[in-house]
Amino acid sequence: MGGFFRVRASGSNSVLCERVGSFSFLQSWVGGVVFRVVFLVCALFAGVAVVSIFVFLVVGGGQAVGEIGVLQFLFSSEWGSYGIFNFVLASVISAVGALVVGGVLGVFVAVYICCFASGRVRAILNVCVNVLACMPSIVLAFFGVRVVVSALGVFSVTGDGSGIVAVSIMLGIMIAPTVAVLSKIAIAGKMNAGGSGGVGGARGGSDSTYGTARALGLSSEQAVFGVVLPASKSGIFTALTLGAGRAVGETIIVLLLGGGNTNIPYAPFIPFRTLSSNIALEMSYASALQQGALIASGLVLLIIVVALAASIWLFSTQKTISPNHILGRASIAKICKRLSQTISLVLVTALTAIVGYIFLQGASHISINLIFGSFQFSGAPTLLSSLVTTLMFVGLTLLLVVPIGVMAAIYLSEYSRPDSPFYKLIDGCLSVLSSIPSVVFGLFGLVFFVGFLGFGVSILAGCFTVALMVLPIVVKASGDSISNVSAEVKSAAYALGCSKLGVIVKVVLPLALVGILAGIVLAISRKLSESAALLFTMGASLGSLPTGYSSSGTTLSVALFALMREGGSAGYAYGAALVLVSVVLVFCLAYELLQYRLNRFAI
Amino acid sequence: METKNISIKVDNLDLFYGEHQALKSVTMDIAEKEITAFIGPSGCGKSTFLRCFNRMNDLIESCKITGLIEIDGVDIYGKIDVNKLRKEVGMVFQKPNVFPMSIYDNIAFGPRTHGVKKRDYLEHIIEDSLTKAGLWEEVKDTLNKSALMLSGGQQQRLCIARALAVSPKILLMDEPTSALDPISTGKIEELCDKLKEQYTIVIVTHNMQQAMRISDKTAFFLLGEMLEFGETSQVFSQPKNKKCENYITGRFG
Repeated sequence: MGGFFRVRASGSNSVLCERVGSFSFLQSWVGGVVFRVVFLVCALFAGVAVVSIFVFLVVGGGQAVGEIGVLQFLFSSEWGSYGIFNFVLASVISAVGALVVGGVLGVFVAVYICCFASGRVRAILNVCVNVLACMPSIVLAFFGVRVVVSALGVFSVTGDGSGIVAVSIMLGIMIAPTVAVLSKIAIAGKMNAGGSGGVGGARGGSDSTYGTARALGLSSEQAVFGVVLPASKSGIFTALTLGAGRAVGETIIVLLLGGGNTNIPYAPFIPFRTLSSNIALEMSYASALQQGALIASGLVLLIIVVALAASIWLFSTQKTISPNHILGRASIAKICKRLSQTISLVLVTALTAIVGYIFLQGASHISINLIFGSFQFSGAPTLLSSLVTTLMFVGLTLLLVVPIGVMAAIYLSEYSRPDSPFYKLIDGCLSVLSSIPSVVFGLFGLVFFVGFLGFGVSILAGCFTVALMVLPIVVKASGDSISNVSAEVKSAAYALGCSKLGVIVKVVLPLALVGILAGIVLAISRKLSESAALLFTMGASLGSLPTGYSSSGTTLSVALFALMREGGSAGYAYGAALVLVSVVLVFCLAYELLQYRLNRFAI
Repeated sequence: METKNISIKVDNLDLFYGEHQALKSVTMDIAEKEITAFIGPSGCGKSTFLRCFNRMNDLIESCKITGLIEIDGVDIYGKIDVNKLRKEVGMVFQKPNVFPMSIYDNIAFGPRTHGVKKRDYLEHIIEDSLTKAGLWEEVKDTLNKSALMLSGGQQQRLCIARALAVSPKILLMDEPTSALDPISTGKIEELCDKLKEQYTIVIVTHNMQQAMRISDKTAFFLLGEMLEFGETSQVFSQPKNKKCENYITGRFG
């Protein structure tokens, strides 16, 4: 089909045509088809992962529930006979507690950032929110145990401050950044010029909801609390729901601050377990039936979280804006503004306290021997094997997740349309995947990678499990940045006769690189923070240097967890926390810098 | 006047975006090594029509085409390699859309895409096409600098050079000067005049003076129909169609 265009013998410009014969895979029909299929397979992978997680949980837990009896399983409060009712209730109560703390923190901080703060204050608050979002939950739990619980101990009859109050505070701080970031998007859409989604636009443009309200003579506080906030209701609802989902799924904080008994937390200082902390507490030494019951309880947890996510989709369509006249009253609006200012200060203080505490305490406990000393069973714990394990773990997960994630993103943004059923299906699967609690990934990893595929409790199994977890992050970041590549530049390449694959490889990917890198860095910081999914797939006790991917090991996060659970290692735990926080902060700030660059040099 | 060979032959072309008909049975012959200008108010279909010649409309999913377009006697909507067609039919866009790469890589992109690997040969192509686009003297010492550092007019000439680097026979220009200042516009117009010695040029323009200044033939479009087509001097001095006359004299548009 090729050279039908007659090459003119004369003319200086025909000289190129003689050389055009050389074969180029990118230009060829075969290359296009092969890669299209590869991209498609990668995109399908997300769907397959979600389905397999459900299937394995159903298969793994179904038999046990059959033996126990569905009603007994769901509605009995006796864990001795495998009833999970108390845990479900405890999960709900702690999520509500977290929402009270985290919802207030997140929404008011978002309001302050979007509507009142300006210049440097705004930038600092944004960075604080993002840094807090990067904090590993094990670090928050550590701070909770050492500071919050001991402070609360004063009010407790037994002198032990752990319980629902401590859990709510730390879970609240954990979900506050999630709530804040998502609320910010909703509020900024109403505040800034350009109407919906104009996050980058100037504040109070005349075509924004805020600008219109101001034009009617409302004060800035009245416009924000009376009009903008009610108008952003559905977006804030989404933020709170996703925050609640994260709180329900969180394991480590509840496990370390909630105590271990199987009660319902009906009073502030009653020790309790949630669905997730119960799984983490018992999975590693459970008998067959018990394991089945735990897997089934993981399925219940998963269903709760997915139902929460689905409720956003069902209830968040809001067409009309109805101003709130109570919040819009001048005096109340003024109070609300003060409140948002104060709460922003609280958030910054909390973050400073957490980071400051760990740095100050850690500095006095850190030593060369703690970091690089060789491991001895009787001697002082060292972090060397954890550092090596962390490197191996991060490296392999990247190798697994980056090619699949980026290629899936290419398929979604370049080969399918956002309104097609396929796109919606895969996008939905990715959302489900990103909302699955990490302890459920842990269960799946244990059943599938450790057991079914026979990897054993090993670094390899941990890598595969966490690769699945961070897949949505990589796909989302890559997809966003691939779709942001300007259509004009792409058509220039097409007009030069470049094939679709050629355009993707030579134009789109290089231009999307910074955004893809940002996604990868974010994924790394998530991996460093992860602990619940690794406890029973990769190992939970400090040991000697790993000899390969088949040996078990602990990442820094899990090492901190192990040190906290071992009595007598208090000092070492401070050192480990310092190392972990420093490493996470480096990646977190790297992400910030990439984002900054991305916004600055956006093409 | 000598009779020129026909480069592009269009017969009874209809084009639909979904239900909307954007072009209505257009028939015309475009002569080789001449400048043909398409004029008409916004949304009349002239840009859409231009994009039929290198099948850029293929990228729009809802777009359906019936009728015939032949280039050098080959039906370009038949069984052909679209990428080879686009190599033969270059295009310059409304906004200068340089790649955010070096000047060198911008020009080398096309030849590399089509399999040119030898460095000295690439350099020959780069000098040749930048010279043709009248940009060589201005950028020959800064070939490794980012193309985004150039001014708008220089960027547009770079886009022309980039299109020339794959040695097309036809050059499609979609309002190439609408984003440029008068001086840059003047340079591009001069360039077109020179380029028509070697290339068939089809240009879409909003600027009637521009069409008058540079084109040999002019076609007037309105609401997807070609109402007038002929020698530029005739179209502008004695238009046959009343609506065309109204447009040219500034009564609407």
